[in-house]
Formats: sequence, C-alpha cells, structure tokens
Amino acid sequence: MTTTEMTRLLRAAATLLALAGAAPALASELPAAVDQPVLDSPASDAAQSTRSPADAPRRTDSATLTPGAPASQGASDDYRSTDQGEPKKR
Amino acid sequence: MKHGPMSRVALLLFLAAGLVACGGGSTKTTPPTTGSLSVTNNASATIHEVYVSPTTSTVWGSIQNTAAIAPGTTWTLGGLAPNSYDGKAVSVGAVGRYYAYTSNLPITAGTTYPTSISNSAFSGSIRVTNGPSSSITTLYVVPAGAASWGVDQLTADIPLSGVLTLNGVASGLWDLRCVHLDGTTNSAYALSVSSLSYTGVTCL
Repeated sequence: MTTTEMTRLLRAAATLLALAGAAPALASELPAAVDQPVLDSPASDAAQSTRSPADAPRRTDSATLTPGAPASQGASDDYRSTDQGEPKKR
Repeated sequence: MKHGPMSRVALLLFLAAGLVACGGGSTKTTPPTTGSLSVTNNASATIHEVYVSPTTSTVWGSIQNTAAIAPGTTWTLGGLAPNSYDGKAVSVGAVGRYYAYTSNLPITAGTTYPTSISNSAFSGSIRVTNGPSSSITTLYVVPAGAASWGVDQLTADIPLSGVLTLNGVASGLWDLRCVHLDGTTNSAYALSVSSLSYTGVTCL
C-alpha cells in the first residue's frame, strides 16, 4: 500500500469517525506532503507582461510593449500578513 | 598707442570669448527638473514588472517598464519629480510570481539614483495541491513556530484536485494547515520556502 493510499484510507476513516461524532484528534489531522523548494523556470515570452491600454505606463522608455497573458497557471493569491490589515503596498 | 592688425584680431577674439563666458551668447541652458532611477538586475531571473511610486502614496500604480529586464542588465526610469520613492520588482515564473521591494529612494533633479536587485531580495511561493476527496476551505500559512494560525489565505476554496499558488511568501520556514470542507485537516511544519522558488504541498 502506497503512502497516498494509506493517507486516503486514514482520511476516509477520519471522515467516518467525524460523521459518527467521535473523531479523535490524531486521525482528523493528517500530515501534508511537502516537497523541497524548486527554482522556478522563467515564464514564456508571451506571458511576461500583461497590460490593458488603461494600464499604460505613466512614463515612457524606449522599449516595446509586449502584451500577453498571466504566466501562472491555476489560481493564485498573494500572501497576507497575520497582523491586522495589509502591509503598506504589499 | 598703435596696434597692428594681428593685435586687433586678438583683441576681438578676447572680447567675444568674454561675452560668451558672461552668458551673453544665444544658447540658454535650462536646469533639469526631474531625476532618474536606474535598476540593475543582479538576480538570476528576469524582472518582468517594475513599480515606482512616491513613498507617501498608498498604491503602486502602473507598471513602469515596457520590456523585461534581463539578468545582468540595467534599466533606467526617467522623468521622476524630485521626491522619495518606493520600488517593487516582480519576476514571473512558470508557477509563481516573486516580489522584491525597496523603499525611500531619494530622487533629485538632474541625477540618477542607482539601485540593484539580487536573488535574496525576492520572495518565494507555496503551491498547494488538493486531493480528490474534499475541497479546501481554509488555508493557514504562518512563520514556523508562530503561536496561532493567523488569517485565512484563501479568497476562494481550492476545489477537488485543484491547485493554488500562494505568492509573496518570504524565504524561510513556515507552518501550513489545510482545512477541508469535511472537517479534516492537513498540517505541515517548518516547510522551507526559498527566493524565486516554489515549494509544493499536497493536502489529500
């Protein structure tokens, strides 16, 4: 039995116990599988810059705008600090 | 006193030079009213977005660069009114978006203030993958050893087998907890996050 299958079995058992109103703390909290950090590869050229005409730069330089789509696949959020309110501009 | 032709020419040249030196010439120089900010990318990743706004401003505003800044290159933003500015750089990876910040950059008229960005200045990301059993309704991510789980990081549930990338996580060690719709949880402690990198976590 693989680790994944074992984890699923434990989750199923925990769910059954929770439904029965007797879920022990140990069974209801399973370890998350964690990978090591992976150095991210660069986004493709087509996905490097996303801007609408209304989001044009306030100042100009000599480069050329390359429109494209966001690089990240799937949903994404920015980390929110645990204190009250958002840090300035972050 | 008599003067020869050559000495008259010399006298005229001398007077003309004096007029120019005294500002009597036709050229008029206008003192610069703006300054510049140069950004040198000393990181190994490309910088795709740069934001610059006055320190007193609460928003970043628009992207200032119109082309990516490759590693080892310098980009200069001109036309800045003298003021104190904050800066934000974004490197967009295939998975995550990585942020670097700098603040209180003094811009003065007629000068270029140099800044540089290295790898360690950038944040990392956490990539959470959900299993097929139950959606994740709450995600907690706090510095390792924090006394409480803090605020929910999700703006929407992570669906079955869904993936969420949490960006802007400072490099270091973090504790994470996934709370599923069925009430079960997954926790990971002291997971490592590195600059310009993403750390994968699976919550089944």
